Amino acid sequence: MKIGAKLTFAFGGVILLIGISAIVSMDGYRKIHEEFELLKEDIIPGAIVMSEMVGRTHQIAHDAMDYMIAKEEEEEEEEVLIITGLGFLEKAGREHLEHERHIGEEEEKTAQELLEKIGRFNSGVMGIISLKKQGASIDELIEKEEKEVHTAMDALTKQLEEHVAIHMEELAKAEESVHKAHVFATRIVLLTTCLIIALSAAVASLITRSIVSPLHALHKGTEIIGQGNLDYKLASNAKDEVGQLSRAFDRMVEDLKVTTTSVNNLNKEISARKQAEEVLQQSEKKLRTITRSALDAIIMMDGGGNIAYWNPAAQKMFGYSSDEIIGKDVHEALAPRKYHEAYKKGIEGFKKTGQGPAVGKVLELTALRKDGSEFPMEISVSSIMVKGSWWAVAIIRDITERKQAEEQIQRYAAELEQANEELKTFTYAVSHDLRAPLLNMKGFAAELRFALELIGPSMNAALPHLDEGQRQAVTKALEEDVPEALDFIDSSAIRMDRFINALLKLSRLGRRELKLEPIDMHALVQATLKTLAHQIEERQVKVTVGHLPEMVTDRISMEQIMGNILDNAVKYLDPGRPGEIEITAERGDDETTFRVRDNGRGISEEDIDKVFALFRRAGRQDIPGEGMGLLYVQTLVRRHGGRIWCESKLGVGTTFTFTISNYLEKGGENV
Amino acid sequence: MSKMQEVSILLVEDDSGHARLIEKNLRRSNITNHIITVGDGQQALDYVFSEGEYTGTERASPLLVLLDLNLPVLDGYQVLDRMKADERSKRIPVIILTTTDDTREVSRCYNSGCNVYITKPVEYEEFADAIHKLGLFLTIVSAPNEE
Repeated sequence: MKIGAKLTFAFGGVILLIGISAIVSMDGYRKIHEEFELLKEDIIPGAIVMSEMVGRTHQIAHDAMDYMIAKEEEEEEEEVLIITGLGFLEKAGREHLEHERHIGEEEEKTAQELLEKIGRFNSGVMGIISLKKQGASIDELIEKEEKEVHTAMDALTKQLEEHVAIHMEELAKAEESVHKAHVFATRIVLLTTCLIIALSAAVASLITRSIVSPLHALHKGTEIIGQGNLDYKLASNAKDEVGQLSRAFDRMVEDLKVTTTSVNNLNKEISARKQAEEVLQQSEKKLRTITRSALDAIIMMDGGGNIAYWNPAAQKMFGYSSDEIIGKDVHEALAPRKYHEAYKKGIEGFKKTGQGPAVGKVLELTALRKDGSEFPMEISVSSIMVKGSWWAVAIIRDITERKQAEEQIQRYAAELEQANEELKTFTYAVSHDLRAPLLNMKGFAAELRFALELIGPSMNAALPHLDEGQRQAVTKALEEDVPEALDFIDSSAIRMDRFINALLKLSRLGRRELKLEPIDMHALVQATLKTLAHQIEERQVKVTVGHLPEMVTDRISMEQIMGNILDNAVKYLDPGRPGEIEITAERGDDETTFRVRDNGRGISEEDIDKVFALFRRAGRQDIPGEGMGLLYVQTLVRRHGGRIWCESKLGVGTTFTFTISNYLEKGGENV
Repeated sequence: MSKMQEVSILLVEDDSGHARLIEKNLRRSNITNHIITVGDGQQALDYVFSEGEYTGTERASPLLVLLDLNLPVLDGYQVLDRMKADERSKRIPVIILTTTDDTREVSRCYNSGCNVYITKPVEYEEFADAIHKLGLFLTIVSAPNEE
């Protein structure tokens, strides 16, 4: 219920109560009034009239006595008094009758009796008057008076007094009932007042409770909410204004919460934005510094194809100052004419999509300077949406020097290619052209021998015909000098041929494709040792093989490396002491190191440099060899991304150490 | 044997020493056939097609070519290719006789249509032996007569 309704209800109740009590008390007062009217209209006048009648009766009786004794001259005056008095009595008696007649029969009868008694009194008094007039004596008069008047008067006054007494009684009754009515009315009023007070208090209390307590809750709520607890709910179910207010308040708090949240968010956003702005400013500053200090030209093209940004490097590169160029058509100004058509085709698409043939790529193009000269540039273009249209940012690098360097590299590469080609030709020349004359040397030496054989029998036949000196000379020439010469030609040709073969082999080693596969080095070394088993057994060499890892490498190369080193180790052992050869390996992060240590004759310090040299052989030349083995080994090791070196002490022993890259599988050769 | 008597041998060899040694060794193998020696590829083709300095001369028929690869003017490959591409000469047997034993070159020559590939040994004794065997081989070879 709404407060208005509540108040209306309470007010109405109070008004009703007041009305009821007013009606009740009005009724009481009406009764009092009626009684009072009764007293005023009936009882009191009646009593007065009766009392007056009693008084008049006594007066008349007195006057009649006076008349009896009055002188003649006084009789008339007395008579008037008496008659007046009698007239009044009769009139009063008739009026009373008339009054009583309306009240009831008994009252009429009593009034009739009263009127009759008045009549008898009147006749008694009148009898006296008439008797006197007739001249009766006083005694007769007195007798008469005692006989008629006095009795009538007694009866009359008696009834009158009875009437007065009745009236007095009635009056008392009326007074009492007035009093009662008054008390009743007073009580009613008091009661009503009390009731009104009590009801009012109750209603007030109810209203207070229904109005004030929600208000109180509201107040409490506001305080709680005021302290910042926006999650507090009044949650009133009341349907009155306070309930509405509470709900409105809840909604307001909810709104406030939303608002607060959004305000908080807003605040957060604002602070975030401030931060972002600061960051942005800083980054812009950084960016500006970067673009200003960049060596690359940084140019921005707006949606209309005009230059919007131009950094100092661009000025340096193209020759235009920022003031000269900003707002100019970027391609008109900076692109050589040959690009204009392609640009016109691309720009329309770019304006729509931000995409184009040059966007998102690094291109090498030609750029136009202010002075009309052109230079090679590397340009990378990215697109950016600015104010609803596609702009482009280009970073341009003058690659003149790089181009020159590239050209130089290309020249070098070409030269290298040529050199390689020449090397191949050289190799072919070595294999073919150097050999061809050797074949002739040997061939014609052989032909000479054939010729000598043909000459032999003829010469033998001719010899006896020569003198001693000639014979000896010819014999010496044919049997010693010519064969000796032929032998030297042959042996030289053979050596030459061997060197050529060695060179060829070396050149082939450098070109052979490595076949990488997992190799168990331990097994490979054991197999190599088996090929040397005969010599090892013969010389009673103690061979120790440590743990050798598995490697991804080229089997043939490894066989040749190990074969050469181990062959050397066995070959050059010191015959004076029991041979010892130790093969170990150590796997590192990037490469694996192999060591082959022997206690052989060793290599002198001055000879150690010759170990890896072409056709060089160190120390005593008592062991056959072409002086190529370690050169092959070095070539192969290098092709495996490794190094090889030798540590040796004459008469103590030699250690060959070489490394092989662990990552051949990743990078192939020459990593 | 009777047919081989008629076959002429065109020896294409720029090294005259080699040419002489080959010829000598062939003769020692009882090869008595006519041997024409030329020193470069162009001369070889000129002879085959009766062009250049051989214009107007009738070339020998049937013919067998002993061809070195490393030749001046036109090399052995070019000579081989042109001979095998030409209707007039494609049936003439070509024996490559060269110092190279590179398998790629051997394959290339066979791809181009050579009939036999022989590597000249670098040791003279072996060389002499190889030419001797070639001579023996040639005695049993039949070369097509031209129509």
